Amino acid sequence: MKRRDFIKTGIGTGAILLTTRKSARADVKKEFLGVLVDTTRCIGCRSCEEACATAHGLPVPDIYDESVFEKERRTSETQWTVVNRYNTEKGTVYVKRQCMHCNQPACASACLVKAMFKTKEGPVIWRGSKCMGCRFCMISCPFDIPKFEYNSPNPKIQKCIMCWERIEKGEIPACVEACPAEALLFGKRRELLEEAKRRIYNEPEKYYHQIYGELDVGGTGWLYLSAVPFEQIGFRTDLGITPYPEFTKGFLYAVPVIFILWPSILLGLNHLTKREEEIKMGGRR
Amino acid sequence: MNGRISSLINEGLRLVKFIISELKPKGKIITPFNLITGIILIISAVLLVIRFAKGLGAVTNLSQDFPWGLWIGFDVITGVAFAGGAYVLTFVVYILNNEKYHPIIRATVLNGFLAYVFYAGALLLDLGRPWNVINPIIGNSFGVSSVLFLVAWHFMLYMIAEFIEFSPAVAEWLGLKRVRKILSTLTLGAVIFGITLSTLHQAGLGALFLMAKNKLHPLWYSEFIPILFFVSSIFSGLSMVIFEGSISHKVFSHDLSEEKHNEILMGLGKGCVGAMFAYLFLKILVFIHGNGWRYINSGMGYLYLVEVLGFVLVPMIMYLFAVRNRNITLIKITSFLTILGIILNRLNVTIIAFKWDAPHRYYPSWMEVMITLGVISAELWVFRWIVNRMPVMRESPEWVYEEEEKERKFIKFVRR
Repeated sequence: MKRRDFIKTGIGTGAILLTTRKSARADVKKEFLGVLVDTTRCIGCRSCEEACATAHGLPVPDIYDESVFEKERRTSETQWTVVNRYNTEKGTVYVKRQCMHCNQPACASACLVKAMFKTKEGPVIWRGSKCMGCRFCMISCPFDIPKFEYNSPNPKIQKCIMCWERIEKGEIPACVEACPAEALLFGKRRELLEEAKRRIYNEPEKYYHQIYGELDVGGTGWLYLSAVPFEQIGFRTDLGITPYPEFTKGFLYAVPVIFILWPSILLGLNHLTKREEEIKMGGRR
Repeated sequence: MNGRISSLINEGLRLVKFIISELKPKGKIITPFNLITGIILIISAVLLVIRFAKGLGAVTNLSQDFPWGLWIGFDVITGVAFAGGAYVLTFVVYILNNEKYHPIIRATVLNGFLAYVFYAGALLLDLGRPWNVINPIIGNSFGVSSVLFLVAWHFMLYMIAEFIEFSPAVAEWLGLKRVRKILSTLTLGAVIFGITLSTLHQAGLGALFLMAKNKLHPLWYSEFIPILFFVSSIFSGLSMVIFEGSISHKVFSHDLSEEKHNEILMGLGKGCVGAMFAYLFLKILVFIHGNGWRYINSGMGYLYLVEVLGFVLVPMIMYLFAVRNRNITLIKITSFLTILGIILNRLNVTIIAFKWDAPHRYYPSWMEVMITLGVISAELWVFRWIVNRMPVMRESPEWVYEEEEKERKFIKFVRR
């Protein structure tokens, strides 16, 4: 073996070793999963509502009842997902709503027992054995998603969990599976963003040039494409792009500071004032 | 050795007999106060059975839009603000070594302690799954990123700190000389720990709403809520001490003379002026910083003006006048006005300005109000029971002074 070849092979093997190590590392660090909702494709059949209710033992809605579209509905303790109808400048649009599965969820950071929990895979789940029912998650969630069973002595928090139990088994969420119009696409969030951008790029006339959830509240697992501005289809566009847990960070960082400063200052003040007392009284008070 | 054990047993028997004899009510049983609070307590007890059997929806008007109502907004968040007097006064008496306020320190600490036990304890009634309340304590699941985690722990630790601060009075009541001596050495540590905890959880109650950014009206939402809550807890606590003190000074036999008591109230009023001035200054800063003018010409804007001008600026000026003219009646009236202002502020943040634009507003049900009154009644009963038995407003028993005198002589002797 020539010296040059030796070096070549050496570098080559090294490169392979390095790359395998790198890809192994990428495997360990899981990417968040999510769902891309293309509201231009949704036909308002509400199959997703039915599939969701069936999968989670909730009361199954009558999906042929058109009257539900008369007013805007919100998710409830018996409906983890709802489809709403909007009349917009580009005609009728149907929008499926459920938990957004934020990258940095306000509910999970609000929870003092980690009952609301962001899994490594991305779904935000609720763990009943930990929850004490304080409902601080409901105060904190910018989308008002967690719902509480007020009429039960053993109340649960009800919300979409992105079919966590199915994902663990390697299946896809029930609503995505049930969608006949391919309006829902399940996958890694990064890839979904690429797909969403590709659709906008290919049909720039058709889409409003924004992906809801890409940046909103620091990014969400569920991403939305629309033909019209998002205010017209029931989305809040004033939530900003700061992840909600950031709002409490300043206060929480102040806690250890106060815990160090206050006792030392107080003790100092106590000694300072006591000495005068001592002089006056000729001893301890 | 045997003698020691038998004397311990004798002492134990004496304590048990003494406590049993003290459990009996003193004074008349049928009084208007007892009748009214008794009826409230019975109704509350029945309502609580319904609440735990059927769920929160059976007695409260809470909804998916308003998960927190009167029990959190008033009982817990306002009640704890009122209990602020304890940490402010322990600061003055034990840290600044100001003896002037020493005569009212025990009543104030007792009030603070009971406020936490009952009002912060009311949190348990509001929990949907109260059997899991031990989870954040036993450590199987610490949500350390949660403001509520901090608040919950601080409530618990502060109750312990306040109990230690009050415990010498319990020992004096039971006649335990040695125990009293040990407990009173713990006071300074408990006070320092207690003030630190209070600073953080008074602020923390405000910090609970930091993530309600898109729900709270912009005139009330600000990143400074924690600081505003902390500063307002100072004059809120002091005003409560004035208000409550001027009532219990009349109701219970107090060893303190009327003049000295008035002198103390006057000083507390002065303290309120300072804290209220700082608070107003911060409020104006936040208002200008948040460009509050945009919202002022609306219903919520007027409410904001009523709260800040009517219930902070006006009482501050009234306190100032009262202190300058030495008008004790005005001090008492102003303390009541300030208390109303604190109720208004805390309810604004937690309920009224929270989702102010929601189509269906939250109003407490009569049952929520009744249970709140029940919690207050229970607290008053326990307060009365303790004040009538332990040296809270009365002087400590003679032996306490003898012991202290002995100790003082001993220290002088050692120093020489």
